Amino acid sequence: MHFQGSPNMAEKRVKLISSDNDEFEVDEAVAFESETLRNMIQDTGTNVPISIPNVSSDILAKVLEYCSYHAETMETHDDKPPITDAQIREWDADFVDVHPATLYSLILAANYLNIKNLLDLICQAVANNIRGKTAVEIRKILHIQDDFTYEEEMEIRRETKWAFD
Amino acid sequence: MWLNRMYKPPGAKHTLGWPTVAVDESAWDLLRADAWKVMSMDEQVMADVWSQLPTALVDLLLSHVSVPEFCRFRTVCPRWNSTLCTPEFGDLCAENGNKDHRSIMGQCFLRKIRDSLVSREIVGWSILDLNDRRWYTWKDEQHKHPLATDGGFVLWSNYVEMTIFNPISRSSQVLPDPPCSDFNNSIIAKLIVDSVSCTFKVFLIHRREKPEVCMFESATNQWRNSSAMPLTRTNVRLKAGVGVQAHSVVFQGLLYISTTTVHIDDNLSLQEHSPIKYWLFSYNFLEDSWADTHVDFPKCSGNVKKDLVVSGARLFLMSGDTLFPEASQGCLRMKEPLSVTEIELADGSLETVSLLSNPVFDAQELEANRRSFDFNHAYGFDNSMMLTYRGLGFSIMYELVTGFWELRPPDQTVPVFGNAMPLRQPCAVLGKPVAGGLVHCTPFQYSTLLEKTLYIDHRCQIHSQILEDYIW
Repeated sequence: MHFQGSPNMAEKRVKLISSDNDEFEVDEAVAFESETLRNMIQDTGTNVPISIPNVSSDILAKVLEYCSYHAETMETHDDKPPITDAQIREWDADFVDVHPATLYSLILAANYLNIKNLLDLICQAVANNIRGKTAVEIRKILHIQDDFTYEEEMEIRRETKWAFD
Repeated sequence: MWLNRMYKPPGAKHTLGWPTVAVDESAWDLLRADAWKVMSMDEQVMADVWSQLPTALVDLLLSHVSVPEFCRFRTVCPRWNSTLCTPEFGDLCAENGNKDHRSIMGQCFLRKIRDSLVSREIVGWSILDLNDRRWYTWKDEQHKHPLATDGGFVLWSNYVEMTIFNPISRSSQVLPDPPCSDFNNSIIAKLIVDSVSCTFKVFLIHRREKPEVCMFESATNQWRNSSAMPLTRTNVRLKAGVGVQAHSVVFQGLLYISTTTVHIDDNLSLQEHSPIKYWLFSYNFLEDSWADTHVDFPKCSGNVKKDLVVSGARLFLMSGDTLFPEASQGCLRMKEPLSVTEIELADGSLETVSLLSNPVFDAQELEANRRSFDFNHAYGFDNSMMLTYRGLGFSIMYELVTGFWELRPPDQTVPVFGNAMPLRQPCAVLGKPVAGGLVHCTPFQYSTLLEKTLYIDHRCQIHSQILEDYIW
């Protein structure tokens, strides 16, 4: 699988190997979106394929899709108008419009690969999923055991009572 | 809300605010039985997602929820409660928090009529959640006079001292006495909060005394005076402050101050309806330097009030005339148009963006003895601007992108003030204690909810709804 971040041949290419042994080749600029990969490349150079043992192929493909888009938005082309912030936001919104299970894998991957913007994006998407839910619903949805006594919970409710109505 | 209705305990009386009736324990059991909902497939997956995440990632996720949700989620479980209340979590929120989730602060009041005179009694605080389009309202007995808001904090004074206040946690920090006296009615106050470094700055500009800026920095916990405003133009007379109609706004890292003069050459006798001339100065508070923007404002009538507004990263001047009641038609009318003018700082030019000529407002229920209404303040946020009217309670919105004006129906109980801003978690600590610094934080105080909660529907219409059922 090849990701064409930019056709610039002078760019260094980086090989990445997913947990199911698929090989991905991307521009160095794309890999540099990940702080973890940046450190690895700076340590070992681009000649050796980098193995990412805890990210599967489909998730890595998704992560690299994000990285190449965002690496591309950084570049300036004379012949193309720059990508606006609104366009990026729209693209990001589409990107996280996936099944919750995929979101979960993406959080772990973004956390491991240390891609701050992607992690923020997914956290916001997951946080939006639990918007407007009551504590009871949250407990139910997230299988959280409720260990509060009646008095304890009343105490917390009283502190910011306005938020509970 | 439906939860409250469903589990209203038998015997609980409908009481104002905090009910004194004990809650039936069986209602409590019902609430906990969780028997009311079957999980959807997606929710099942979400549950698996959350339960498998490392704690650090769960905390990271929680730092992205909005503040009202954060307050609710404290009751999910003891671990969430203790996590959400640590200063470390406050730092995490300051770093990651949803900065798009914005609110406007307000104070709610009760109107009292005594001897046919209407007075207002401030009874609490309100937050207008712009994203969820609803009000949160709660009681607060202390009388506070809000001066400015920013970054989730309110600067207020009680006519004795000046305090910075987090309305969510109700914690506050008293500022040292400012060097200028009489700071309540005759000053323009600005607050700038830096949520990353947990510091803030307060600017006080005196309307009637010397035209200088008093500046407080939380990093040093000290007040200092700016250098004097450069009054180089020969016809500017600023002998006593920047003028009653002066305004101030923070824009692109500079403090912009509009000063007013009544320009009548060498004749110093000020007349009430003399034409007013505006001047716009910028103050660089990092370098303590002043500059005249050389914007040439036309003279205008003393009745027309102007306010500086920042919206969509552009600087505007909003001007509106006094509203006069027309008793026979039961409406209010503005004689001059309401206008939005963009200030081009590069060349000092002015461009009128929108004019709303002679707006008329329905005012059937206004007391007939009022002569006129001045607009209170104009605020800018995102791509919107809002004018609020003192004593009327209604506001006028202008959308920069669409160019639409919207008249919000009067709400007699909430005067809105301040910037649209993200709220701050109770655990957010502002102004890291410095040596010799005065940091006073009161713990949580119990607050009670006002009986009336206001909702705004998808078209920004404000509705009042009496909450009839209480469980707690």
